[in-house]
Amino acid sequence: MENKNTSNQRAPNGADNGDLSAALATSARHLQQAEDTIRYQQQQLHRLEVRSDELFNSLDEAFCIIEVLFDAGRQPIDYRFLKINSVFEQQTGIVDALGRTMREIAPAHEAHWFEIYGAIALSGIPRRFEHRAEALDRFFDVYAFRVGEPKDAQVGILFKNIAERKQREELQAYLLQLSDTLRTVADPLEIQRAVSQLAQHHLGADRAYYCEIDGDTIHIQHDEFRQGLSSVAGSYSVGGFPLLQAIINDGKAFVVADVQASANIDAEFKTLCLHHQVFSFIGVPITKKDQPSALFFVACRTPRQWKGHEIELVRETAQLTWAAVEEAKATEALRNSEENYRAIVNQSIAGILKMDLQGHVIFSNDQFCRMLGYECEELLQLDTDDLVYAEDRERHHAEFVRMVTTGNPYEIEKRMVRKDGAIVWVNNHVSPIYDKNGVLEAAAVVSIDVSRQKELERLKDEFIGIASHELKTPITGIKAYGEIIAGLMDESVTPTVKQLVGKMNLQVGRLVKLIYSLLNTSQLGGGQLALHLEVVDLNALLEEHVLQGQLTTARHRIIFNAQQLPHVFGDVERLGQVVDNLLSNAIKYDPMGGDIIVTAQERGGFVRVSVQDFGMGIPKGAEEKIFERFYRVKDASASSASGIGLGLYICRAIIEKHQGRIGVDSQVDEGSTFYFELPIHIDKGSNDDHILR
Amino acid sequence: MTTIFFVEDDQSLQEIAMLIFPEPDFKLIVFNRAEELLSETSYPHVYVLDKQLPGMDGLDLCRMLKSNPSTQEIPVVILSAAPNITELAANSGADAVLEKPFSVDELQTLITAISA
Repeated sequence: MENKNTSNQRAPNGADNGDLSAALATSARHLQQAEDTIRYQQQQLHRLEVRSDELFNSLDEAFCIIEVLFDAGRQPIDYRFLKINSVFEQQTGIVDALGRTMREIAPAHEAHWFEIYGAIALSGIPRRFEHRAEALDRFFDVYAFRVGEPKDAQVGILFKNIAERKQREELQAYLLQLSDTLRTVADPLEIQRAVSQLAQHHLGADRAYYCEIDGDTIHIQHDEFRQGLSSVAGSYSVGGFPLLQAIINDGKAFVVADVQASANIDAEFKTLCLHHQVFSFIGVPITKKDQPSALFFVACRTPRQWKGHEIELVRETAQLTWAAVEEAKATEALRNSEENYRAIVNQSIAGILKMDLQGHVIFSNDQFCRMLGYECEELLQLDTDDLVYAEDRERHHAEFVRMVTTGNPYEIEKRMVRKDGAIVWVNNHVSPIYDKNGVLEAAAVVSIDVSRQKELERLKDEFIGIASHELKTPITGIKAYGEIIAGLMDESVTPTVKQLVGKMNLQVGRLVKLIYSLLNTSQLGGGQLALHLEVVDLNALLEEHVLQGQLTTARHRIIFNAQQLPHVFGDVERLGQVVDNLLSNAIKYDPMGGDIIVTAQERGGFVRVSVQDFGMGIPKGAEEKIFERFYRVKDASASSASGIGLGLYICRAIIEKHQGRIGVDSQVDEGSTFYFELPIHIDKGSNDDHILR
Repeated sequence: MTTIFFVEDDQSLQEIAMLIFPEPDFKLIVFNRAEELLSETSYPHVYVLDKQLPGMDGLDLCRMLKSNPSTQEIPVVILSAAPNITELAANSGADAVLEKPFSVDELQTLITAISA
């Protein structure tokens, strides 16, 4: 406020009385003016204070003004709260702080707080920092600055509690460290060790371990513990500890701050804890598929008030550890499985290879390489075509294409060529390999070297061939003698002798047939079965052989109803041999007699000939085997039927050589229907005979 | 009378041949080996040769007979215990093949027909 009448103004004419009165009046006026000024300034100051308080209280951060207290040596030892705002209490948790000192409120408050504020009060240099106040269980972000004169030692503090943020950051940092640890460790036990160590260290605990639960047994493989404690590694039954069992089954974190004082722990478990110096702990069980599978345990040998973020940390640790251990175990199991698989594959006496759908070798085990005399690296550069013997290549292709088309595995016996040019006979079992989407991507081949077996078979066939051959000359003699005797017999010979000679000639006939069967077998084994191919009218062929067959039996009626049939291309003699064999089997295996029905009909590009009997039938499981060499059904009722198990083997070879197929449908005691199918002949304008080898 | 030169090392078959080709309709001369026949100076109406003989085999003997102008027109029948030799026998010049074990009738019929 401006005062226009200054105190040294005098009256203009110098009259004393008048001057005095005037002066007094002037003074009184000046005094009044000064009082007004002071009142006004006080009002302004009060308004300022109110505004200041409003401003402090409107802050969302806590604010206070403290007076730093020094000892005689000018060392800061405490501070007093002179002013606080409304947020202060909520941010600090301190009630009625005003006028009290920090030491009164929290005697354990860290000394560094006093040092920092003392330095600011003395230097006037403001400072921003973040510090933990353990006694308040808080973490503060602080901006502190001097207020007023240095002698006042007052500091204004603007701050907020960032404990939650800090805990989040700490948890994140811990989890990051945990992840880094887990990433670098692959062994399940090593994971348990590393995680226990990390958790123990981070929480400042005295013991930490991860254990696996199997039924009512817990297995502690490794535990981290401080000096003075001993390991608890081992397997324990939790059957005797109902509470522990309940904790595990509950699947929730179980926290105990003071084992001795806790009312939640039963006597048995308390004894166990104290025996191992466990005075406080956090246990987090892991439950998978409603079954307890693991437990993470952190303990201290003193009572401890576990904080929420610490419990959360142990929970996270338990989950991550479980996931890492299980993954490591799965990886280990997979690695073991792969190692086992590799060992089996490489030590297998079978050659094993994988080939893509173009026939390139993409994997080969050692045995397959040995079989063919190649280095494995060399094989991987090759196509399977390069390995298959030229004559068997077409068959190999056809079967492979069929597998690719139908997805059906197949077995093939073929010749392969070694690197040195030698031939190896192999029996290959080829199966499809599908990718994860079920798309055929490759083929697995299991290859057995059957060269030795083949050689033995060859020797056997050769032996049978030679033996049969050598038998033929004497049998020709016996047969001829028999015929000569039969021719010489006149009426003087008794009927008995005639009958015996007749029987002898019949047996010679059987012997001749047997020799032919053995020879045929020998030829089949050596791949020498020759077919003289021509256009064949199956109706005529069947009629002829049905008639012949009927002549051999009086107990059976062979029924053949000729139908209009397309021609086939085949060897009349060999096909007749097949029909004879099927008819003689039908007669032989239906000894009581009855009907035998011969049918021939066209079926999708083939002619199917079937011979049905109503005899004893073939047991389940033997249907395929009866076409094998020397196989005979083991059945007491059939034991009277003669034969050496070659007839159907020869039939199958003959039919397959005609690009046909042979099979049987049978029911025990109801009879069998043997059938063969031959491709229909498509006339290309040539009826010349062919010889196939 | 039909003269048959029968080359067969098996004595039973020799004996049977004697029985089924009796005189006076037949004159059967038996040889145990091919080499014996080669030293023979007379000629038959038909040669019957076993394929498998000690020493030179029947097919080689046939080939020699068929390459000799004095004997090449004389029919040759090969008796064989081995199957499927029709082509081989034809290549050696044989006129017929009979696979063992044959029947007496088959042999008689064949010889009669071929020597006619």
